[in-house]
Amino acid sequence: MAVSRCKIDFDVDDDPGSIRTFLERIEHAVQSDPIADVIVDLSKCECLGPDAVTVFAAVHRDLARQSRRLTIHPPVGPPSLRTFFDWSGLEAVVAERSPPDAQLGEDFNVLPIRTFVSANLLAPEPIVGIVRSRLRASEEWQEYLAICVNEVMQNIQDHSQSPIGGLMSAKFTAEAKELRVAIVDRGLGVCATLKGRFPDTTPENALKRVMEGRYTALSRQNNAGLGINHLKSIVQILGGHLYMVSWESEFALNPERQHYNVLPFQFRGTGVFFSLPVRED
Amino acid sequence: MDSGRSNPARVAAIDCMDAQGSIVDSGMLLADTVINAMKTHSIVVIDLNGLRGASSSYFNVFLGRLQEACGLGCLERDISIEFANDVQKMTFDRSLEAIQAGQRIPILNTVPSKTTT
Repeated sequence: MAVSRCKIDFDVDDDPGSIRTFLERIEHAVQSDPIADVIVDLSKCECLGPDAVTVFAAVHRDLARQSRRLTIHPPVGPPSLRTFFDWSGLEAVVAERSPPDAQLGEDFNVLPIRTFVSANLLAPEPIVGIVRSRLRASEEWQEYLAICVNEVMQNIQDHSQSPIGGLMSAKFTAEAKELRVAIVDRGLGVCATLKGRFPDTTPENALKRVMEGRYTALSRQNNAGLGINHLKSIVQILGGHLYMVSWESEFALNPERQHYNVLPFQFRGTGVFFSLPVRED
Repeated sequence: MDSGRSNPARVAAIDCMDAQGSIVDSGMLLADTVINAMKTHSIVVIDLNGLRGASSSYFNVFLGRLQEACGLGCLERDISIEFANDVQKMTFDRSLEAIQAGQRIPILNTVPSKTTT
């Protein structure tokens, strides 16, 4: 059986540069041979976040659908990364087991990878819970977070046609008082979806359109083109970070700047990665 | 004296939440409950306390259904809304603005164009 190999020997933190390089390597391995199994070597990697493990889980599900396998050689260290790797539930996903419950540690709490097919008002509660177990997050902040999660889930449900549904996970770091959330699908992507209604949509303007709002594919009656714009507004209000990739389109936002870009490769799906500083009562 | 006005109906959104269903299902359920209450009461108070994570789609569906049933004028005339917090009100206002704008912004009304070759 043919095998594509992929080595992630650098830290995949929440900066767009490292996530972009990570996605490029993964997709190169997945797409270089359309029938090959994929082996990812993480042994030299010393930092992974929810973004990376959620992408791995999505790629694994997608490959399984094509009767291909994703094998991961886990990181050797440091201990905190091994702990996160275990707690993230990635091992359970790859082994087709049920994900573990939320893991509450001393330095960080983790919501292991979850699969979803539709947005539900209760869906963000486990993410809110991993923060609330450590901090008295303000009611307003909890509301902001729940809306962010639901806006992304709703978009996946309505537009993506993802054959694996959506996957998400989250990590709360106590010292930084920061929550990171990753939500990923393997669907059609923003550009292809908008193009059906707005034929002049391109990889250059697709994410700009949804970030600025009022552009909707109208896949469902409940669509008004508000969701991703709302997500962006909330991340800005809270001074967080947002990184979104959809096929060749990329958007990055931090408190200092934002930028749109066209990638030299395709990420087959959409990934929304955001981090929010927690506001306490 | 209008007994419905002096004794308004009270609808708690948390009681209209479809816990197993989608956000859209919950938004529809709230709208249908409010529309039913309006048949017997001239004032309906909607209590959004306890409801978390109501996204744009929740309010889009709620407002869209209300618009169909009685027009958005009923929001000022017959309905009073108690928001749980400012964030929730902001989300509601954005949806309301979009639905109102949908009556005049072509983007929201345009039928997808079909190209034939």
